[in-house]
Amino acid sequence: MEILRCENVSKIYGEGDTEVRALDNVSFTVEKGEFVSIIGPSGSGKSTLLHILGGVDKPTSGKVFIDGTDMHSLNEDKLAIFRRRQIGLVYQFYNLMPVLNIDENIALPHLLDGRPLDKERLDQVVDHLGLTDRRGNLPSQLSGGQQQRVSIGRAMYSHPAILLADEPTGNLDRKTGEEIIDLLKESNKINKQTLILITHDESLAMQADRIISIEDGRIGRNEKVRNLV
Amino acid sequence: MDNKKIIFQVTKTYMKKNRKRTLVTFLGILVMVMLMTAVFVGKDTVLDYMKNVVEESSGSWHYQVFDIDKKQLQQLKELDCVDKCEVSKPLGYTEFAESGDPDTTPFLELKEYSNDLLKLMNIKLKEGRYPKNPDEVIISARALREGSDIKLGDTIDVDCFERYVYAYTEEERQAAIDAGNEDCHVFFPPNYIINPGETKKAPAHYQYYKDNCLIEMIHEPTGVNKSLTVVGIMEDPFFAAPGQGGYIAITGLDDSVGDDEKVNAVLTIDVNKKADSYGEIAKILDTSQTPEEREALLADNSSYTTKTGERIPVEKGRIDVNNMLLAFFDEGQNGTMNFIILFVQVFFVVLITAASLILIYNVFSMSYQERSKYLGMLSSVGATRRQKRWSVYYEVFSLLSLALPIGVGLGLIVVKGGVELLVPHFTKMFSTISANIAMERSFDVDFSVVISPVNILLVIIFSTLAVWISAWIPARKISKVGPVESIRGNETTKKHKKKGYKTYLGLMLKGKSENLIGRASVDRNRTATKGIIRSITSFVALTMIITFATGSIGDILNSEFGQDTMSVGTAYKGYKYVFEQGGFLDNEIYDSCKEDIMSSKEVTGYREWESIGSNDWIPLTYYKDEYTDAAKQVIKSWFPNGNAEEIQKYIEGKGDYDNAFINPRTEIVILEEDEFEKVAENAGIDLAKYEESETGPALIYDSIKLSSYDCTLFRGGAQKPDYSEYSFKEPLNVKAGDTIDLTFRNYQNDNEETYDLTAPIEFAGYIKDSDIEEYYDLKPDNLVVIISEKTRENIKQVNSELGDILCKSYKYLFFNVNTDDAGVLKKLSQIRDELKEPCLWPAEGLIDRTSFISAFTNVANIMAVCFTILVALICLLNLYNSVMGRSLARHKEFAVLYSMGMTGKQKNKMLTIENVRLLIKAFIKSALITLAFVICLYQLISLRYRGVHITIPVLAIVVTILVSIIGLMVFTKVCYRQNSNKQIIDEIRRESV
Repeated sequence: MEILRCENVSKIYGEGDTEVRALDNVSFTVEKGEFVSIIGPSGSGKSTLLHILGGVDKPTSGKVFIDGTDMHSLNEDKLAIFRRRQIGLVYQFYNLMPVLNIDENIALPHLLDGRPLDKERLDQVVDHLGLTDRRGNLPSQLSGGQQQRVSIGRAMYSHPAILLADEPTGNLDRKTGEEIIDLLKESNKINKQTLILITHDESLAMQADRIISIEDGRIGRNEKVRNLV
Repeated sequence: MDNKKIIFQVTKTYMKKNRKRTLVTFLGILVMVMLMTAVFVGKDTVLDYMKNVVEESSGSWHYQVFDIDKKQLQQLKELDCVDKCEVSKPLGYTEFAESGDPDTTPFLELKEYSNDLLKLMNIKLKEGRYPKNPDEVIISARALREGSDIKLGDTIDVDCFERYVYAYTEEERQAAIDAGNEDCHVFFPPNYIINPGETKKAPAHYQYYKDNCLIEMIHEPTGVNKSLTVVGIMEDPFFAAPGQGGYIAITGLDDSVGDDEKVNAVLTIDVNKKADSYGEIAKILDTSQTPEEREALLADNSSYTTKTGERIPVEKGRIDVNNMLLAFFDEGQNGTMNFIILFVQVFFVVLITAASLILIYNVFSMSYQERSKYLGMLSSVGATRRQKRWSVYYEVFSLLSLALPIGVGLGLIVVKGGVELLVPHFTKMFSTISANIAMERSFDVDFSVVISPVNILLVIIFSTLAVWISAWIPARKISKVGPVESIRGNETTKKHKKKGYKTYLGLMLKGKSENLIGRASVDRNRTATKGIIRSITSFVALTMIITFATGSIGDILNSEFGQDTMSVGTAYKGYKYVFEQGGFLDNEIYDSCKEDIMSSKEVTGYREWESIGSNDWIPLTYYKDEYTDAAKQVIKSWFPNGNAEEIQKYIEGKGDYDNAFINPRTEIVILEEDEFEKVAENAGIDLAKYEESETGPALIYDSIKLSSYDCTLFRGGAQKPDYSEYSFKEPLNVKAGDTIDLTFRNYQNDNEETYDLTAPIEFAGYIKDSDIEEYYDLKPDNLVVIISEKTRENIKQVNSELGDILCKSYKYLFFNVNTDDAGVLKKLSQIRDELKEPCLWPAEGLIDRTSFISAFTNVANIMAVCFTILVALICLLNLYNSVMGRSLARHKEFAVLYSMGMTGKQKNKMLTIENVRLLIKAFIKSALITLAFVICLYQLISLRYRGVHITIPVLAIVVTILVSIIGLMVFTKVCYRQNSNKQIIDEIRRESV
């Protein structure tokens, strides 16, 4: 079942001589529960694509459907609500709220939706992330790996339809990076969450079900991993 | 390029890059310089203007010493403190055949003045020139106004004489009446006492009396006779008294003083020497040779106590002091004005410095992280601590160098504009002085901004100091930034040493995300919020402190100098004109005019207001012990060495000195029956039970204050104590239904003997000022007894003499007319002009007829409001900068929240919650600071003015709180609008592309 459809998405920055075409007519679909890696060199437009998929940026042209909804036809508030319910974002630099502790950061999208905290679920997630003894700590009191775990916890907690991860291991050492990828894969498998991972690390990308490569804002490859192996 | 230049270059680039922040800092420094200029230059300008007004009104002399001989004159000239000593010779009077009003002003009053003295006495010419020798004369313009046809070049033959008064004995009086002399009233100035059968020199500027049955005017030739040529017409001098018998005429001076001649000296002193000038002058007038002789003279004369405590006998009227002028040099007999001016100056300089200090400190604190990045980079390439410090100093001092000339210029404009605004109040302030000036005297005082190099230098020094102090702490902090930590920007990491923070589980369980983030943002990131809290705290605290301090000054002035016990109530505010009996119009004339007003069809409304002018009191035995104890304290403050017995004697009015008793005087207010009932009803007093009362019920105003200045001991020569004040509520030891003997002092018809009369009144209860505000605006200076018209009539029945006393009142008839051209107004104006009495006023003039002190308080209030606004401006700039700084630092935070799905509405709610928490914290802090200040201020004031009631500026508190709430909300709206989605995406992209 199709959960995401990207139709002829283009993104242009600047005008005239300074015009930069970050994405050029990008189209692809993702099935529910699928794990897709988007790879490409620096400046290829993969992060722009992720932001457009995540609803934090708008395409210059083209449409993005998530679970049948044309995301960018929604107004600001509806888009925000849609985002917090359907999309979980994991960034390279974690992007946690510096004034909230682990528990609060994890539950944030859920709380923003006006829903009361599910304490049991929170305990489960924190326990699963291995952060039980650091729950009161602020992000600045955690290591990079721990912060990224919190970031994943935040993306997982409210069961969004899609998890978008932008270079989640880019700022971590190899071992920690592997742990983080394992967590994401676990979430993909156990919670049946669609996972779109942006990376420039081919070996990481190979762990996905499918790889989409982007070069100069255009889709290069779009193939199942088993076909590549 | 040397190292420092590189630092400066980088700082300059940073300043350009952060234009908004640089602009805020610049504006802060600019406003500070402007305010400093306004304080220093403004003070001198205002003082100079006020001094000019006083000089315009009463001349620029400091002391006048009368009736001195050649030796005393020489001694005065030799005094170290004396700057100028000019001589005037009173030549006495001469018949003035050219008088246009020989029935009231048949003489010339001649004086010889030197040229310099003409200036000191502010003699202004209307035409002609000043006299150059004793044979030339200038004459008061009043002579021409009253019909004299004297003109320049005319010659007047003078044959001078002194005027003496002989008071007839009873037999001579009868004989004079029999001889057909007029049976009239004769007026003498206060303190001029003459007994029947006695001959005494006439008072100065004494009016003219024809032959009458009370006194005979005797002219004693002085031997001076000559011809004078009129060379000028002068405006009426300030010392000219309305109605005096001679027009003032001034000739040039023959400066030789004969051995037996008596002259007057007019002195100015060198105010910088701070000598006891009055004491020095008094010593020259002291003719006593032995202590016994001195004691005898002291008993007869008034005295002066020198700064060393020595009492010197000075005959009454021998020394005149220009106290108003000397007050500007802290030389007067009351140092309050100077104390306040100095206090205000120091106070504002400290406040301005404090406000600027907080602003500049905040700017650097807010931008610490940004700066630490570029400074860290510089540090990594070898910049020393000193060089990093210099980057801060470079920034502030480059801004200061630009702000100084502009700020000084703006400050001067503010002073000019401010003084122009204040001039009407100054005019009102000096109305008490100008009222003494003859009607036609011009009263034009220009003001100019007084720019002294010293003041400009002080502005530069204080501004530089303020900026240096403000920058010092941030500079030190920034200099300690290391290369690694600054580049990583992990300053915030170091701050969070705490192990963990308790989860806001309650809020989470309720799903209150905005509350959660808002609360966490304020409580867990104090470094980021303290700038805002500091800004609001400084705004609220400084505004409160200024308002409180200014209010205190007003309270001190009103307590120490306030004289008006009562004035008209709110019911009189809408009237345009008032016809005043005021104690100077005959009752018949007043009643006739009142009848005219009441019957005129042009009059659209009227209402009469009455104030009883009797000498009455409620005996001390009726007062509570606290009042009597306070009275004893007051006596004790005058006589620190007095024992209990002596003090009790003074309390009972039996002390050695005149009037040495605590004045428990009462004011009597008489209301119409319905008005009286309404006031009683307002106070919840049932009047029904007093229907059988002999005279009637009396209501008493529940507040009274007693101060050390209520003790009328000035003539006794005791050292005047510091001001202390005691306030009482419900001061009498009586209960409703008790009878009180209201006591009146009356005078025997023909002599100084007095006797007391008592009127029993039944105490019905206390009223508050709000109960009677419609009719009277009461002040607690005296005890106020309110009775009804019916009670006055009843008292008259009991004792007709008392009835007469209670009918001696000052009446004011307020009225409105349908046109300003009304015939009734013209008629009343004509009566006013004929009687030469100020009996018709615009009502506004009477209602707002402010005393010197209340006008001074108004001026102080206006200045305080201006300064509060400007200091508030610095604080608000500071707040804006803090909010802006925080919003810029939170871009990433908002980017995260946006990406997590926070809506605009949620963002606004979160910001509101944050603001509420910030405001609460700031208000608590400012309340504590203000409270601490108020306690200190109160203690300080108590050292000099004990017991002064300090008013809480409720309105100012409310306005300040509202402004800070609105300010924070508006700034938040403006600054966080920048956190638009586009910028947020840029923020996310910055780290992820």
